[in-house]
Amino acid sequence: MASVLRAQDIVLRFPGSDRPVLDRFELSVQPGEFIAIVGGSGVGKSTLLRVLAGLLQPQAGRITLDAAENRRRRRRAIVFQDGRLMPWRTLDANVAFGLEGLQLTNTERNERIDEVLRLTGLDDLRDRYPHQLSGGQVQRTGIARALAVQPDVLLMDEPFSAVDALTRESLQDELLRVWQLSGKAVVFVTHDITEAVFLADRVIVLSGTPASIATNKPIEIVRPRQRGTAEIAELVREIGSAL
Amino acid sequence: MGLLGLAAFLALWKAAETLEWVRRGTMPDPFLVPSAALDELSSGRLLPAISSSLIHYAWGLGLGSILGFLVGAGAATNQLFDGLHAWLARILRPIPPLAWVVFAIAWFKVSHAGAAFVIAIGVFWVNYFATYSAVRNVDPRFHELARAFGQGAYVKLHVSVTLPAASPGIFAGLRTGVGQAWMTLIAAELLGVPGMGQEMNSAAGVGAYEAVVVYMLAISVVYSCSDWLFGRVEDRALRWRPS
Repeated sequence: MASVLRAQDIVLRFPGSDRPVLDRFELSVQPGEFIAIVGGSGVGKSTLLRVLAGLLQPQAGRITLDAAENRRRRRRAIVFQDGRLMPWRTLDANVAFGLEGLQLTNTERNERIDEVLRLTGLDDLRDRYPHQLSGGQVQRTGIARALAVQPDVLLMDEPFSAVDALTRESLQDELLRVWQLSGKAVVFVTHDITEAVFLADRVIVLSGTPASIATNKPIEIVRPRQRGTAEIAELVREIGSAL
Repeated sequence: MGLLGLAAFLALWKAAETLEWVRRGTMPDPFLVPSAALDELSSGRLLPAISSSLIHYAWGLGLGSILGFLVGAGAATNQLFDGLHAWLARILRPIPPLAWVVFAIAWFKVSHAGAAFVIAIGVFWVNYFATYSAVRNVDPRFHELARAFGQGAYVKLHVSVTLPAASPGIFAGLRTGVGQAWMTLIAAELLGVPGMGQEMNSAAGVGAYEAVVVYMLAISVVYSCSDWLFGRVEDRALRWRPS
């Protein structure tokens, strides 16, 4: 099966540093697959995600998408750790932001907004400004904005790390629901191994400088998964020892 | 409370006049100010002076604001332009607007255009600096967001992200300009262009100090009105800000 997103031979070095963050790094994402990337802080998880998103240009190597970008959707969409809503836009206008770069009629645009707001349960809040939203609502808006451009792969940079534990669990459940409904691939960066095991089909552990894949562990627990099972705890322990 | 302070001030003023704390005949009598106001009004001097001043004000403020904004925004977003203009700005900026009066008279004679020119110079610098630093201080994470959603091209990036993000700072500059223009206006008109400044000057020439006070108060009223009006516009444009 063709991968939706493939990174080959990626070399990334920040200016002024002699050791690359990524050196001949390889990763391929299958359609509909949920990958979690874990690793200690500073190992280059977010950097890798930005390379995959096309926001950082590697010095060597290439990123391949299974089809070219077109004017009606984007192949990749990113969800940021800080939510990154524009405070001067209402919730629905924030969701519309990604659509403004596409060639859509106003009707199509509004339909897409309505659809993702329904999917993420934000319909009642659409006229609110970001400062009127809770941390969880901000993250859901970030996810809605990414979904609106109808990507094949959703790139998520520690999206739930800044919210409280209860909100995090409900965001995780919601993400899984949206993921299963939409069939999109997800690359989910987190420093929380338990979160990675609970969510993903495959957990990748990054370590070292330059970062390499220390572990690539398929998680075969049947869905829907329960939190706090011995099975999860065992996998968390196993993956944690590789960190 | 405020009223009490005002009454105390008037009493002190009246005392200064009756007890002749300054040279006789140079201290206006506060209680003669209302009748002097009626005088100026019925003689047909006050209203034409106000409207003439407002013409200088509108042109000077409008041109200075627009040019200051354009140059500031251009310099802050374009490296080449920034480099080219840096020295010029450093040389011209310390020159007080009133120093330009010489050229205003040489180029425009004693005319509306001359007064507007001097006002525009003061307003230009205020807006130039406010816009420049507001644009420079836009959170770069918003630029990353715009690139992530395919809107990193110059015009799109700056119209949809930089401009709204910088708008509080730009508005602060505009509002300072609203006040600064008024200050320069009177000084520019003292040189003889018809307007409130000129009326003040000629009233002082014949020792009609009550009339001078009338114009001072008129300046205060008109300024308060324009500042209030601008405040309303600003509140409306920036209503997304958390209050």
